[in-house]
Amino acid sequence: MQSPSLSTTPTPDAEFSFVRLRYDQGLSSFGRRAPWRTDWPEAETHFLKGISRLSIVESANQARNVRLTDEALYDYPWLYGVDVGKWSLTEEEAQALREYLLRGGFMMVDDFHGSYEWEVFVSHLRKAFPDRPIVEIPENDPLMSVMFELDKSIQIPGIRAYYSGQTWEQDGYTPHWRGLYDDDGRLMLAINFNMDLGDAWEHADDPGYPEPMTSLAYRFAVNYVIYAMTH
Amino acid sequence: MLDSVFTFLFSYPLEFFRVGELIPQTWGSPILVGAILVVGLALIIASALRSNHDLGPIRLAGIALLQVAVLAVALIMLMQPVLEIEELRPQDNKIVVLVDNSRSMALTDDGEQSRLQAILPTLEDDLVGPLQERGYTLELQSFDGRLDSTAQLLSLSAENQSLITDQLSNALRSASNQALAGLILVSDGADNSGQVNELWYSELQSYGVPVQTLGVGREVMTEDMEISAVSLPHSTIPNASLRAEVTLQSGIERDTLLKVYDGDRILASEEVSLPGEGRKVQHSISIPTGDIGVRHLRFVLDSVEVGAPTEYNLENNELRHSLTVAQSQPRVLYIEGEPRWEYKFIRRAIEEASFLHLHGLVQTSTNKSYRQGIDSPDQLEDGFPSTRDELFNYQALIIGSQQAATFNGEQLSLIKDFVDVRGGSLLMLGGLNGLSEGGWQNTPVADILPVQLPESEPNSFRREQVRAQITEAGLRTPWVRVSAETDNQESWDLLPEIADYQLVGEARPGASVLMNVQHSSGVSPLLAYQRYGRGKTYVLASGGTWRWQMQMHSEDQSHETFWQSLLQEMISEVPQSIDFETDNNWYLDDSRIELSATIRDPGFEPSGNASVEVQVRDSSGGVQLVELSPNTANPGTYKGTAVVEEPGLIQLDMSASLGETELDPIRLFAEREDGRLEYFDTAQNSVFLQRIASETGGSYFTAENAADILDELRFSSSGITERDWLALWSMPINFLLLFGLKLSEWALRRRWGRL
Repeated sequence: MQSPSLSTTPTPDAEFSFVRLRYDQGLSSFGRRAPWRTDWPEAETHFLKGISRLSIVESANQARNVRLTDEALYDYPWLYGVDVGKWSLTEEEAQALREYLLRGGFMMVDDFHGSYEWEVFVSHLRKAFPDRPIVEIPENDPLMSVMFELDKSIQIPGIRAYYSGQTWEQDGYTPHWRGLYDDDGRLMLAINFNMDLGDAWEHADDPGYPEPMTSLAYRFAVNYVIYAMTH
Repeated sequence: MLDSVFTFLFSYPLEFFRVGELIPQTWGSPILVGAILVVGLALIIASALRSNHDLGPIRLAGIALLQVAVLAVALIMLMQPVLEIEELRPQDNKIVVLVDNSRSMALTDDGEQSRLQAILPTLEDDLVGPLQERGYTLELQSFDGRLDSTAQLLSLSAENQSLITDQLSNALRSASNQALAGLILVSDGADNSGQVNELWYSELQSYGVPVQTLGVGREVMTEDMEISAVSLPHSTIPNASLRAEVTLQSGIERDTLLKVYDGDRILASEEVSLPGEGRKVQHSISIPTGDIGVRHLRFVLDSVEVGAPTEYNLENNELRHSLTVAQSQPRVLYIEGEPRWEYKFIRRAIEEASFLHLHGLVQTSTNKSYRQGIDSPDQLEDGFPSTRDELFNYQALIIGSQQAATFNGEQLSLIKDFVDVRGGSLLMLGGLNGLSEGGWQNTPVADILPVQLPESEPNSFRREQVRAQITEAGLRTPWVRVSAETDNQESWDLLPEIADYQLVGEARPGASVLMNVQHSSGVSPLLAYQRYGRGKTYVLASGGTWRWQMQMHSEDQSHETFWQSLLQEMISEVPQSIDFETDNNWYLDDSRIELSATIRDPGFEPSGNASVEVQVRDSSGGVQLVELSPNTANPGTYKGTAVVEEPGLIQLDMSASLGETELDPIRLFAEREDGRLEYFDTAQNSVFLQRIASETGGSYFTAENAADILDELRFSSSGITERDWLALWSMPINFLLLFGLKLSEWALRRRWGRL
């Protein structure tokens, strides 16, 4: 597998680009493959095709990746963070994340499960937003209907959990669609907790992975993108 | 001095020769004079030939010439010429001295005396006294009526309005059956009647009485600064930012602070540099409109310079305006042919300001659109409005990256009519499917845009980050701004590059290019604007201004300011189907309020059969109802006049009905005040005084040469005159000439040794 390019991120060549967040991992996951690369590159490849098929958003063929401290971050108002139960943010990165979201950037985080990973995720997010509440996205939020009517009750599983006959990982039994809103009530950070949309995109061509889960993951993806481009 | 020398040499003042008629001969007949001339010349020639032949021809000619000159002077004296003049007979003539004692004459030019006090010694010593001494019947008048003496002027209250036109006409009219030889108007030339026109000048001429004008007061008020005018609508929308155009002037170059208050609460303050010499400048200042209600705006000038000269007239440093902030939220429709960051960030910028309602329609897939900000679930359900009434319900329309082919022919015509007929604003943005890429160049909409759209420009939309360059015209345009304070080149240089741009053609004649982009193959308009029909059109050839928001700190307001300012400009001046306005807002010494209303149907066709009336409530609670009459010359408009004598706030409620249908009422406020107008434009209006004098055959004077008015009156063309013939043969100049010529001949002969 080829490693994602570490070169300077080029300027956008389409209206929408899939941009993956690069971050340093915490000590607990030392020695494993960098968690920010999880599901790369098939997840974005399938994601971008799905966006093009289901909407008329002009999408870049090539996905990008950036660090929060990269200047190029602000050329891409949509950001994807994966396996954020293992992320570690420096103060500088945390402030950059805060600034990115307050300027109008949109981020979705995905593929982290259980109470331990939640605590890790939140502890670093609190460096950026110490007091801003993390809330369950309400049913009537425009995100849930901006393109497709979405069902929040379904837990989209990772492929390993699915093959082991369950939809959850660790103690993350219940799916949560959570978010961080700005002062004007606009969702700026979408938190897919106890779910793995990345696997659903990545394994869209895997006959063993349930198609309805992939379809739902695509639909969430489209809604996230359309929401980000309209709110 | 020169006058004295002239009078000594010619026996009479120069003025006599100017007004008199020369009669060259009163003695002898022309034949006799001719005979004397012939004999004299013959004697001169004979004498020259007999005794001076050794002088040589040139010297001989010189001597002969001098002798001929002596002969000529002697002959002229012999003919006894006279100057015929017609002079007033003082005892039979009346002179009216009309002294302006309006409020402006109570102003001081030196910080000590009023204008009236300052001119009084001149009036007594140079005019009234000498005129009485000469025996004229003198009538002294003020704007209050007849006076017994000039001293009475000081006891008069200077409470009158400056109505020179009325006062002068009345004075001339009342004296028309008397032998009026002239009228002397003593004034600073301030006239607030609004009646100065060619008709009035013709009326002045018809009296046949020369008006001598004596100008009082300085022509440039060096130390004074003034707010001359404020241009602002009568009503506006809540929670918006309104730009007021303020006209300012100052006698000297100075820095000052322009403040805007609502009552005692300060709303805005900006430093302004005034050029001096009384030159008027316009300054644009932004005012937050606030909540629904009435803003009693006060525009005030404060000097910020240490050591600035003391102003004697502070009354003209303040101007007021009653602004009605009415319950209204203009509606803007923004349609996008694809999800774009530009849409998101424009929405965010506008949402921060609540002065308008943005309806969004974004196509998200081949068959689906996302509607945002709509009023009801069925609104825009079928996409872009297909009826005239539905579209004309908006004030502005933004078309983003949208293919022209997604509209049918009727909708494209509607878009054109939206601007042309309805008077709405249209902004077209650049984009992957925008402008030429969207095929708009082949639609009727292309005709109304401020730039031409290239017919075949492949890939005119380019995702290259470029800098938006503000043009000179852009810097001068108040609504093209990225900061709340005064914009300058630096504010624009600080902006990051925009994400993309689109090539467009040249600006149309009459359009303004406010921003450009410099790209690899040249310069292309980025933001252009023009008026078309009753509305306005704009092109912003980019979909990438969102980068100003993402590249700058979250606290920075450049992107928000730009879009809020542009959108507010777009919705400003957009006509409503029902409009109501007055000819002024702050009525100074003016009781007449001209009312006008415009009534159109939802399709903006004029409605000429409406019933329109205005209830006018003055500050004492007095109410009058004024019915507005249809103006047949301009269908759909209605006019009327209210007369309000009571100073204070005036409430004007317009109600209208079309058949059985009651239309939305409109409420405005105005203010009436007496006594303030005199404090504006306080410098002496010498041009006006000179015009009065020249139109009537008089002259303009100042305190320095006021005594010359007596000479001017002596030969007035009006009144009872007597004819006199003044002998010219005895003028000293004649004898001096004779003596000089003979002395010259003697000196020449002595030099040549031929005495």
